[in-house]
Amino acid sequence: MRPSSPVPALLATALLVSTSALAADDALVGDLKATIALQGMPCDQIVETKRNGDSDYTAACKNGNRYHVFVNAQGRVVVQKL
Amino acid sequence: MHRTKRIGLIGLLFVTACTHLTEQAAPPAPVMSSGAEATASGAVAPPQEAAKPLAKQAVATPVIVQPPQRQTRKPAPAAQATALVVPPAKPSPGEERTAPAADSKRVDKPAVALGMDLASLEQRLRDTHAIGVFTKLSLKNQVDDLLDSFRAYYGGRSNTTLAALRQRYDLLLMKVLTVVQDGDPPLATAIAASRNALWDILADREKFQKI
Repeated sequence: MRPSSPVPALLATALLVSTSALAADDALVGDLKATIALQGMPCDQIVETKRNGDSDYTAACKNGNRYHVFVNAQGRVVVQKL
Repeated sequence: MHRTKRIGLIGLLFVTACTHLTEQAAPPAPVMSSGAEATASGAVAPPQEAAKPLAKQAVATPVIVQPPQRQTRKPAPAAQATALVVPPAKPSPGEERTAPAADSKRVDKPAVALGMDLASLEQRLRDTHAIGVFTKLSLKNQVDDLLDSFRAYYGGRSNTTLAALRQRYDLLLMKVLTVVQDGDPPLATAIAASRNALWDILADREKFQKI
């Protein structure tokens, strides 16, 4: 009996982790896009996001617009065009 | 020669059968239309009975006789239903007051059943996974802004009108539905169903102050 290689298990774990990370990214992108739209700002598709801190993101849209989305001290969601 | 005779006879039979069918095609139309109500009672017999007679007169008798029998049976529940809704023909003044009140209760019950109060709506929006945290917080901010506007309106600190507030309310509800409808259709349906019930709360000063 040859001992089973850990490589397939590691690959499967990595695949699961990357899949869940992609899903989380999709959820974040959708959340930011909806937030930008709710504030009345144009953004057809988010192509890049950057996390600046807790509840603080920068989003770049396909149409070239970039937004700073964050929660201010009063607990309000603010969308600033950069 | 025999074959041609047989073919001719078959063709003749076919033509006569078709002519009978075309003759019957016209009478069944009123049977179906008049019997459409009868089909609701589960009666399957009329089409079969209408297909049996060959002559127009033979068809006409069951058409005229049978549907009235079923119509006389049908109006009974219909009359009962209208009797529940429509008040008596000559009610006394006291009855006139009670009958519309009973009607209005019947109308209000479905609205209450469909509608949700603000607390349950808020809780369901909190619990849903259809929208993210930023979106929820944005919606909460906008709901709070609208409620502040209503407070200012009822407090006499604002020049806005109820019609303008209604526009803002409709717009906000549309935003909520837009972000929720794909990820949580039941919640979107519930919100849409309670649109008027929620507005009734907001538009009534006393109800609004109880929020």
